[in-house]
Amino acid sequence: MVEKLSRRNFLKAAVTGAGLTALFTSPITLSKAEETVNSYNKKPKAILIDVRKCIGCKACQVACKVWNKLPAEETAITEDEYTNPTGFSANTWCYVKFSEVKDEAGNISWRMASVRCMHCLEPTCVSVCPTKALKKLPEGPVIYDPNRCIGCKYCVEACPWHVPHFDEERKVIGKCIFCVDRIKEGMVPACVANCQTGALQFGDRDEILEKAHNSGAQYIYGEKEAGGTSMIFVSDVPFEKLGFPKVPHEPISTYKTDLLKSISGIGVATFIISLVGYFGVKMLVKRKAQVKASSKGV
Amino acid sequence: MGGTSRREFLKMAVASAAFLGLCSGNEDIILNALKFQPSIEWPKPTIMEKFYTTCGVCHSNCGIIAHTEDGVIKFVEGNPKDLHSGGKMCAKGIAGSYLPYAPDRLKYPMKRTNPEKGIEVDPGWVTISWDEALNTTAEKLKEIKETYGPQSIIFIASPTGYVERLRKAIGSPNKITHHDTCIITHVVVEKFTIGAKLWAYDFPNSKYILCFGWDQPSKAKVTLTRRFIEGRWKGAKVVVINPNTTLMSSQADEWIQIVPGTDLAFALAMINVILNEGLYDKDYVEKYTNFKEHESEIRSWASQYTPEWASEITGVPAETIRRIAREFATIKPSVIPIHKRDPPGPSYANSWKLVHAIIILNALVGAIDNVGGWLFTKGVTFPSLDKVFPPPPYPEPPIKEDICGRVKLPLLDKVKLGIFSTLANNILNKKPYEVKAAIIYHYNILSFPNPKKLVEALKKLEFIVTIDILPSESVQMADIVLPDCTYWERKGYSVRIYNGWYPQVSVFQPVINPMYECKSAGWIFCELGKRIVPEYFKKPDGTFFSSSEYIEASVKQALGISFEELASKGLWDKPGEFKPFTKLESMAKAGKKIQVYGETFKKYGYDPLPSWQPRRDKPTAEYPLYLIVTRPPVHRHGKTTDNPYLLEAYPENAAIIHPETAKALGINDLEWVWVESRVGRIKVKAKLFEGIRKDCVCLSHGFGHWSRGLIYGYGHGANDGDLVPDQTIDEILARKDPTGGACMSDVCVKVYKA
Repeated sequence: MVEKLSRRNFLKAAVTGAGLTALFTSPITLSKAEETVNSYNKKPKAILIDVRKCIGCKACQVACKVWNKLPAEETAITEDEYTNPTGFSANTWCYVKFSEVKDEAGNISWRMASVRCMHCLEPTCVSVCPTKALKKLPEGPVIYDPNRCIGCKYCVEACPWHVPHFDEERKVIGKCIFCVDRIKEGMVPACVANCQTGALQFGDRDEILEKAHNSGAQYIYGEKEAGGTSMIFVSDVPFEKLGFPKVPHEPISTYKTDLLKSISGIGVATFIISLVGYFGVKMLVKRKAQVKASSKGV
Repeated sequence: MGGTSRREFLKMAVASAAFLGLCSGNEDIILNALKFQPSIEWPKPTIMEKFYTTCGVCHSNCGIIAHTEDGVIKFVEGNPKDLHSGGKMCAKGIAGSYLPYAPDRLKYPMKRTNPEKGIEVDPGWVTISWDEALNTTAEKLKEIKETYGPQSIIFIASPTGYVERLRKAIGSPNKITHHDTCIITHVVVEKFTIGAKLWAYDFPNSKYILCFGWDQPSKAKVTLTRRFIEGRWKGAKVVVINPNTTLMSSQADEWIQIVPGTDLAFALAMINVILNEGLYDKDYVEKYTNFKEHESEIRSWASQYTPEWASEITGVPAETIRRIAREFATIKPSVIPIHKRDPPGPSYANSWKLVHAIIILNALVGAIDNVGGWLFTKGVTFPSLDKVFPPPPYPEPPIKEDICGRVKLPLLDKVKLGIFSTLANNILNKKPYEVKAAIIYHYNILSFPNPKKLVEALKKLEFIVTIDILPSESVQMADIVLPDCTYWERKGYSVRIYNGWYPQVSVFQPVINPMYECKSAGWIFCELGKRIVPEYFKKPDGTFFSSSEYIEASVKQALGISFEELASKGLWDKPGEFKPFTKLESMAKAGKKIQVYGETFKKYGYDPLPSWQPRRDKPTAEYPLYLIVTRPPVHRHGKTTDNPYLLEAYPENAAIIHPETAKALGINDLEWVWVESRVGRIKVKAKLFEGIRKDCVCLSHGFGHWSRGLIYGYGHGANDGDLVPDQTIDEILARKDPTGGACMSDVCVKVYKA
């Protein structure tokens, strides 16, 4: 078995290697004047993902891994030639989903969609999280605090796009955090920064929506799904053909009951204990809804 | 902010944790739930230092900004001022920040202790000092030169100034380079018809882009792709001729599924239609090409290539060819781009003629040196090593003939590039003489056609020294290994050629200290030079020069600024507006025109016009399927298939085959199969795909590493090169191909269950 690569190994190698070699001329850093300082506002942000312009280069996917110091996974060719990794995991927050589509004449072509956490406007994962480890920021990102997470995996079950994944080794949830560390520095998310075709664009959600409507694309996804998301996809083929789930336009709240039932159905003893948990969470959710209602308009 | 109070929260958390912990029997969860720490709203910002440098993954050499933290590269972004990349990077470049820290990279000089060599043979490496490595190498090469003559030493090496200095000073005629597998058809044909190599395209202003297998978006080369996408989305019509559905054909308005290796017939029929219907740009053609001087001969030559004739060969309806020819000549500006290993690259026996036919087509519509067309490179000339530190006169090589037979191809010899395809045969047959030692730098033997034969050939050598970064297959065959620096650890600059607007030079800075005991290749060759031919590695004052001194002096001479200034700016440029026909006008003044009719070719006994020539290998009862070879967007040949980030994104190549063809062969999706040609067979998984022609199998290149040193790349996929026949020089001469192309896809195969 090949040893999994981690950023820690890099560091180890780096430290061992440094200082052994003389004859080094110091490199010259960028001057302050050369560094671009971007402005940053607190308006909700979004990413436009234009399926028509994507060439499947996977720069977004690899940039996400490198920026977020996520280890590479071992993969093998599966569903199609290109999609890899084939889904989200605790260590894969962004990947390019390839789909073969056929036109009326029978011609085959590829369509690619760079996918990541949708960063819903009313995220189900946040509403089911009993410890507030997941949190929605006004700028759009749904962020995650590993210190608060108890590993209940409600979010894993609740997300209609199967985004959050639990890392069984580290006991944490892994998912896209909308490069919140970059956004607040006025930078665009790592995935968007390296999109060479303009298939990915970052901006204020209202502007991105306007771009989507003016793009000439027939289909839009993410504007209304689950009450609206921060990822706005546009395409020239229907999203069902690209493997996107049909998601109701209302914010998803009814999931919770079914979800908790399915999690807790292991034996009578566990059932009783889970009821405690279930009502506990329900209380919490209810209270949160109250808080939210009272803070509306702020 | 409202929410649960801390007390409630704890209660809740403990309850949930208890239930979960009991459910899963996992105490860690319970313990974790009790370990509350202050919450963070934003991840901590990282403070990084930033440096301008250049990406060294491919020859695009995009300008980049490296982010480092405590001297470790953490991230890399495009330099927004870079004309080539527009501040973007491809996956290969982004993952390139991993390379210096690759746990399997070569760290120290090493010597082999196991005299046996070959695939799956453990070399028995022992770490040695630089002194021992350099001295042993120098002594061994000197001894072989004295005993067998300098021609017995071959340089399978990227021909940098230092490499060439060492080779010429030793007196070896054996400069062996990869160009016949990559780009030789473009370089030779463009040189002797236009006079220069053209690299750039003004896609944003094109209205019609016709691609004979040109597939850059599928390779994600930022320099070419982003401008193509810009042009395409500004409304250019894109027509792609390719036997397979690619990421590129998915961007096309029209996709034509041609028989592989017959693009020449399509192009010839287009010339026929454009001439017959008088659709060409008469002013341009008369002013800038030699069309008028040879008009009757050209017309009678073209008259034989009707669309109906081409239809028989290409499998494309005559009406489609006719329509495309008309569109290409009337929806202007139009252009046909070419780049490296497309069908016009050295892929087929007729590829060099396809380059010529494409030059004729581009000239007929006035696309060369024109808005929306094909642009001359605007680089900066840097003084060569020989200019900066002039050597004493080089010795006359006792034997001028090289081992590959390059001197038998006079036009190839003039462009000073080499060939790979004949090397293995000639070493094995000791033709024209015996080879005793090899210096391998930068090249991996997996890039050769039929590399297994080369392994056999290299076993015959007395001594091999390899300079490399990763423990490649070339390293596995070496007696001495010298660890090279990555592009993150050395000084340099790149003139960059994929740019037609204005010159822009990009700097390479040592962003990090060289890791372990790695040294730059420039330093290594200078040190070898000092020990073997010292008088050739000295400055006029009698002291030895260093690679660093050469870089500083050449920057100063070419740009008039210091290296430090270049480093602080990242890019040096001389902006200027593109004025069409500038270069053609200056050529016309010098009495030079685009050789639509190849006068130079004729002079050397080659076809002056690209008359039809079929591909070399055709399907037979034994090998019924055409092999087509492509590259995945996240890899640059075998050099990146040891990078875990890129392997994750494209882990292995597969035999892409049509479901109907597979069904007839009893092959299911993802089943292991053998793909076999007349020279070898490889085992890969089958991938059923409706987008490919039923008579084709497609493989992606860059896989099949057998070096166990490559801890990630080893065993992923298989090498398409194992299916590609190597050649003899007589075969090339019999084909009358002035370029010596290696025919890297001109082969047929069979596929069967493994």
